Amino acid sequence: MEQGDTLEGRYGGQRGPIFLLVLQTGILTVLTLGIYRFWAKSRVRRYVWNAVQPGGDPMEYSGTGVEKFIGFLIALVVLAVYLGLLQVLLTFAGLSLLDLVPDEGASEAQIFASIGATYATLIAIIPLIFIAQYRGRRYMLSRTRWRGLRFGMDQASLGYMWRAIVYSVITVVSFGVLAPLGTFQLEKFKTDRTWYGDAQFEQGGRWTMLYRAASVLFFGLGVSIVGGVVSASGSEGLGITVMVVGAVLIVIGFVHYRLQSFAIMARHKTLDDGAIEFEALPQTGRVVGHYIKGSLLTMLVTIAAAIPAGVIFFMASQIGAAGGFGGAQIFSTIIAVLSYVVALVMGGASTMAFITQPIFGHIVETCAVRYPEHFDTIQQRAADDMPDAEGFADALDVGGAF
Amino acid sequence: MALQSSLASFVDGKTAGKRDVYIEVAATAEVLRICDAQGDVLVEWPLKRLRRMQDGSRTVLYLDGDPDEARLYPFNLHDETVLAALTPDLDKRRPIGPLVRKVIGWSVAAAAALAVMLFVIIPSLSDQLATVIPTEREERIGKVVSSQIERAMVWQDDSAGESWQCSSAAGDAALAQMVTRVLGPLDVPYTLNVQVVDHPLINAFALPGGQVILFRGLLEAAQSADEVAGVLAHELGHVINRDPMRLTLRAAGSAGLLSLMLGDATGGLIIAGAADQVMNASHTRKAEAQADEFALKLLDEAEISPLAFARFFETLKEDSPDMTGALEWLSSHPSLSLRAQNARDNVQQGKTYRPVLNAQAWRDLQAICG
Repeated sequence: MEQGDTLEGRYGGQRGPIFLLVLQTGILTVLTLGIYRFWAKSRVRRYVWNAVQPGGDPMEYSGTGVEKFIGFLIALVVLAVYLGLLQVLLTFAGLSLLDLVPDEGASEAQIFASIGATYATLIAIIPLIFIAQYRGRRYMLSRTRWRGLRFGMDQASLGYMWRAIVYSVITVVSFGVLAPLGTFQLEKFKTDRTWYGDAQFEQGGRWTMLYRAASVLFFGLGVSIVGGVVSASGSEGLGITVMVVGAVLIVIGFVHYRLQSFAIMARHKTLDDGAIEFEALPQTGRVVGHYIKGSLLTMLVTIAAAIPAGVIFFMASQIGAAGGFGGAQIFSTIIAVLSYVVALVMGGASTMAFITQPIFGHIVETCAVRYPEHFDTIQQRAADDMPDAEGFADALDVGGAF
Repeated sequence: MALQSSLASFVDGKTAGKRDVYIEVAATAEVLRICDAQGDVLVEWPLKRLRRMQDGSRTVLYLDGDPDEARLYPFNLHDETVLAALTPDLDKRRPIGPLVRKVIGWSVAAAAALAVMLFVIIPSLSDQLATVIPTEREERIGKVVSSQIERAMVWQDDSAGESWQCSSAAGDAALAQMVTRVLGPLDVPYTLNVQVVDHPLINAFALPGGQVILFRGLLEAAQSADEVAGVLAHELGHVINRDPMRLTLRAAGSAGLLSLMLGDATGGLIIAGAADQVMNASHTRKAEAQADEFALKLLDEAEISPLAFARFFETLKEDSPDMTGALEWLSSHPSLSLRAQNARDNVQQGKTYRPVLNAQAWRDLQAICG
């Protein structure tokens, strides 16, 4: 049917509909004290997935708000029990200072033990964050379809967790120089366990290829150092100018690294034993441009949203100050809170419509699938239930823009 | 309106292969007929069970209850009227049904787990943390909380930017004299910082890091310096017991957990919430009783009469009538009459008490805010 063709990525989302969708679900989220946010997220995903159309065929998101809500409740119970038990265990092991009263005079060892107990609790959260990340991705894939076939991911969150910890330590210890190693190996771990129907993805290439993506970042660092040296050697004005240029380059360098490392790895991914290949050529300049333009628009919309409330608030506070209407103070406080909430919701909708979606759309449209005729041979896979959905990611607040 | 033969893409839910198909409505049979290019019927979907995917801009049709979960992507069916004419149930959603019970069950479990966190784990954790937090860091936290309170209480005034702290040479000296006298030889683990602020509220509170804040309203309402000394001794009791830090941590922990429940909340909100908690006398009854006990001990050692302390509670009581019964149990502070009585019981017959400040110093202190 599509012999020798490539399926070009197409993004069919528009500003108006997604702005209204995020606005509407945002208001509902505020009105329900946050409970609606699970439905809100599912609906936004449904819109965005539907707009991603490789070769014109829309992706499909089949996750539901109610299953996300139940997943969140499950995660809350598990987290409370986990942290509670941990607390009890630490106390039981004598790692607590509950019995210590300041004037009794604590020994060094006791203070040490107590600090240890505190950090143990904090550190105990970190593995959960990585598990939540992996499970969140697995849930999202299991609820994603294209041409009727499900995506899926193997159960391997524990393996992912300890690898993520090891690579985080390596990144920190090497001052970020070995960050590409972690980026690549973790992405490979996830990709090699990802399925489309009965076909498995595979991440090819080597981790060293990501250094190409880090070039702007390293250049920015170099410029900053030169600026520092120039500044220290007397000509301060010039030095500071060079350092500012360096700082801007570093920020752009971070964006470039994230975007291009994604693209490099996407170009080295294959599906079904190398039968299907991918292209990805997003442009950092376009992404930065979308970001700057979108930020300005978002700022304008957010300020505009706060103006009417601001005027009422100012008038009410003037009346209150003049000793006029007694309820003016309370009234103006209510207006102030309302205007804050309205500005927040409008800001969220603008961010999605003017920043997130354009950037996402650009990435989708610069991707393509090669040798799509092979799709005819790929078969459906069984559903993956996941009763906890992505509750852990929601509870621990990990996860991306969608 | 009958649907004329129209072009669409069809995926059968078994493979990723896509077919170009024609769709048409057989009006008499009330089905949507999906035919391949040769005109052979692939499948017929009853119109009653025909559904449309929600929230997307590209139309996707499917059959409710279809085990294969096949999908139809029509090309010319974006016209709402044509689609609506197919079936009135096009946008009908599946009932949540049995999931309701699941939602209720897990909600109860989550509420119980949260209650345990809020009332058992966070209090014990914050009590632990308060005893190990380094003094310097506690002092920094205290400064943040104090500026939050200041902003919250004077935000409607025009005098933004100006500090609300009162200071005058004679007033500062009188205050220092009172602090030294009440404190006696007691060793405080912080750099103690007692200040008077320009606010009409009759109130005082202790903040993390050894900060004690007395309100101008308190100095005006007090009939003698000894009454202020009693309040100061009470707040010092909180400082020594590290109550402010404990309660700030507890409030921050609870606010953090609640923000986890309610979705994203900014860090500023959490700190504001914590400050609010401290200010609104969320001191537990136990902490209050201990601070009172401590205050009476300090007063006794400093040879200041507890009678003035008792009188202050009685003045407060006239201002705000006492609560009784269940209400008293619910409030965080022990009842005023009980506290007054407690102070009176501490008066020792035959002991000579000396006023904390002479008349001039007391006038200076009262005039500290100008």
